[in-house]
Amino acid sequence: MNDAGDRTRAGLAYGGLAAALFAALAMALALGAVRLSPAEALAALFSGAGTEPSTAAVIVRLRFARACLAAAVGASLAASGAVFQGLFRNPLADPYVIGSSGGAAFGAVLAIAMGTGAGAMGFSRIGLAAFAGGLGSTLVVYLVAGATRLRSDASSLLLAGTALGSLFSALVSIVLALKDKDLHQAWFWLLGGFSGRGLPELAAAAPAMLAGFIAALASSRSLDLLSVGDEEATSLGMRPVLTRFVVGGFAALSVSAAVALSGAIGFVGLVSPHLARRLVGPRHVRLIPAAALSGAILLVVADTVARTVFAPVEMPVGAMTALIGAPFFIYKIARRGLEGTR
Amino acid sequence: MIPAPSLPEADPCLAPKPLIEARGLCAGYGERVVVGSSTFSAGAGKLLVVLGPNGCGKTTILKTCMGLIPALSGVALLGGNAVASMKPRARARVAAWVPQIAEAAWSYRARDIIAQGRYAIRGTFAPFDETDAMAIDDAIDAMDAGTLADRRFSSLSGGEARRVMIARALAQETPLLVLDEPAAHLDPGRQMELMELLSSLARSGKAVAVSVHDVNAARRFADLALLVGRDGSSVFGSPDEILTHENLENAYDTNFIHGDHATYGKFVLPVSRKQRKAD
Repeated sequence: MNDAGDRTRAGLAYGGLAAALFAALAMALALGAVRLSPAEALAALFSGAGTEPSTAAVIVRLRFARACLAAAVGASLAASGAVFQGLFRNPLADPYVIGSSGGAAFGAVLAIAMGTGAGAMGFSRIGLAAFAGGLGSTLVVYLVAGATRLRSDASSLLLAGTALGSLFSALVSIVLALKDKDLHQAWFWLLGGFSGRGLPELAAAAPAMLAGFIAALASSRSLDLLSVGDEEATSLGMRPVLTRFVVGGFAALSVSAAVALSGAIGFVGLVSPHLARRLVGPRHVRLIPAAALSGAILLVVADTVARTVFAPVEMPVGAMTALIGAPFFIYKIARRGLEGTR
Repeated sequence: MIPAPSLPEADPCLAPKPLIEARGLCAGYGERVVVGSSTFSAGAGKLLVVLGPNGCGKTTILKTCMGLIPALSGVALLGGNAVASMKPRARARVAAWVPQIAEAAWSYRARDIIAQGRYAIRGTFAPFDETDAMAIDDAIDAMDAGTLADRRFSSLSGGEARRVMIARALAQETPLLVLDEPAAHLDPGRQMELMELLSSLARSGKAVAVSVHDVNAARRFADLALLVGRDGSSVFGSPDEILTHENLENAYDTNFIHGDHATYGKFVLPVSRKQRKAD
């Protein structure tokens, strides 16, 4: 297949992904304790603002807010996953490789243990603490990697991130052991989910998530160059270390905002880039939007399943992403191999 | 056709500045000096070969000249500027680097890899236009890589991948090309083709610096030679004055037969390994 063929194929893939996202959103609006047909749900969503809203319209608007949240978080995690895989030339990298999830979890658990209070800037107190923890841990990883003799090559950043992640899980365990009455709330936060969050929280997180996405797209040529390794990329005229810091920093910002919204939802940021790479190829300018769409679809579906399958008990969405995503991913790999890792 | 590189205006008061130059350059890693105090230079239109036994530091010295590893002492210059004070973009506009080992993560097509050469010109954000597309196509044509362009880079053989890497360097449109053992793993025919290509690039006005193992090809095609010894010492000059009986024997610890063929000209053949001198 040639260049023009690639373009056609990417166009088809985008069309398919957009259609799938629309279908997933319609399903998310229709399914729940009050079951509607997708057409009724869409009609209720777009019913006139002036008229007294029906019960169905109220329900659908709540579901819509939640689906938007899931889509935004999924897109943000998946785009960041693609960025980190590119920055580290590593198919196992996910949005949390440089410590964002560990730091966010520690921040959130600390906030839970110290009692809830008023939030700020549209975030809950827990959300704010998670955001600060996520960004703070990235900063620590950067400082550690920058101070070592290895400087900031990909491996020392990865190692520092992994080590800091373990450190934060230890701290989380210690806090929970000391304040075991908060265990249940903390546990649910750590698994990730969207219950009780709506459009105001999304609006608060959106600027950071958007900034991360734009930075990811803008850096796509640099990410392509990094595929040949730091030394060669330098000879081609770029600065790999600086790029890794700046682009990784924006991605960490976006991830921290997503985690502040919904907790550290796993798997979606790891697999979406791989699925997208199979659809549109490895060039980041095509890969990043396709990964974002795949992540949005995966998380909207996972959240719908999480709140409907065992209703009225709600499952943690983090468990659902893996439950749905893992078999699908393994099936895809088993069929054709992990495209693009070699 | 390979577009002629735009060279800096010649200063009438001075000889044209060499595109690649080392003045008392010591190259190595950290405490370990690999090549000690080496001095050489090559200007536009010259083919410089770097010769020496395995592990003598040919790659190290070329990388140091490219600014990819810092010099231990002495100065490396690209286009007349000290490489240490140049930004990567500025270096990449003077010199294109063809590494020995070529591998890329993910399943990029060869054309995507060749397009990377345009980063030096376009930078991170500016979109590619027709000049970029033309430079890429010309580079593909020059390397006869048309059938490779749409293949996955990771699926290419060693020789094919190297052609793609040289095409990327040509797409960079620099006045200087630096290649690290490009002839490794090539069959004799492809080796000859490569040397003819490098020589024609030099004739077209580029400076070419290349590390090789083939002493005969070096003598036949090169304008300048740098011979690096196992102890890190080096001698620089025209191939005829550098690739002498004594120099070769010392550098490679090997006895050579020197001959003169009616068609080929002067040549050497290794005949026996010498007992290594104690270090």
